[in-house]
Amino acid sequence: MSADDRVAAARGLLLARGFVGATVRAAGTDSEIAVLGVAEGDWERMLLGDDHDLARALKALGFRYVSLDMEPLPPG
Amino acid sequence: MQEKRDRLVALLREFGSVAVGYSGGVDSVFLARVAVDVLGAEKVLAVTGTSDSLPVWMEATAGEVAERFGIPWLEVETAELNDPRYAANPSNRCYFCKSELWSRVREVADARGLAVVVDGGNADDVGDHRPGAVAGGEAGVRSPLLEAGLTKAEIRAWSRELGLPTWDQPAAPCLASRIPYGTAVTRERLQQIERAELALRALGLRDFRVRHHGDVARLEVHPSELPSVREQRAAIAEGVRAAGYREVVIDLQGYRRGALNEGLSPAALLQLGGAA
Repeated sequence: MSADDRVAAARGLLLARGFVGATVRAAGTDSEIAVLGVAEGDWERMLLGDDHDLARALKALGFRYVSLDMEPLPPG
Repeated sequence: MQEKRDRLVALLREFGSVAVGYSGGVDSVFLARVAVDVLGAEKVLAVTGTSDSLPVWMEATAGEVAERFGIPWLEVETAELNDPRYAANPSNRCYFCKSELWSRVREVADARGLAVVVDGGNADDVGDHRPGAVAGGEAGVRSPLLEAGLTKAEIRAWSRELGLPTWDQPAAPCLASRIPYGTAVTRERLQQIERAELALRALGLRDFRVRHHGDVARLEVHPSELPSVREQRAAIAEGVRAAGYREVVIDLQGYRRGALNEGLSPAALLQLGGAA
């Protein structure tokens, strides 16, 4: 799966879990990290929520690590 | 557990005198403390190998505990960063580091007439991916905690009984462990990682890693400390960026031991023993 394909599939996974407007990009020296961006209101749910399968599902797309951007997305 | 304690005491008596590889972590602090109790301070020397890969707070802990508990202590500078085999950061990097460390500790032990070099390996370490242990074995280093069958939990419990401040200290491997295999270990990178981790420690976090991915810092934080991350999000991001990272992200799976081994093939991990 190409990097773009991974990102598109990851966006679909997030949308299905109710993270509307979430962003996904690949980062790191080998694009090995999925960086998720969510709005301020979703940031805590993403970090502390009980959806333990989310990271595993995203890793199954080919990312070695799944992470959350420390900066929430700006409103709007 | 009493049987294991008796076994440890018997082993130390059998050794007669020891040089302890002493990092300032839970296991080596405990071992040095018990060794002084059993053998007397004149028969024990705790030796800390110092380089840019040792966190400064670990070095400080090593010194403070040694002074407080009467453990004879010596620092020796190690030069693993000058070894290109180490600096290239292969998956058996620890082998080259420990080979350097144990050769230095052995020199000290021989010069001071100490019979046996010992480390803080314990029963929980068996089976892990530990090329450093191979280097220890080659250097004739003994692991009395492991040989006595003491587990990490038992060492923590006994440490608490002894009043050691390290009893609940999180595991703290060297700073090079934050750099993915294949990315060169350099002084600049180690210092950058240390600056970032010191910023997080200053904010009260204790059980975490700053993983180095170029200009991205990927934080792995123990789940119990995630509420603190939520409360101090902006300060954490600012502190890590100030260390020189352009981007700060937090891993959704939290801190877990050996995360940088994830995705490595069994063959790559097996390389450890083979190369050693």
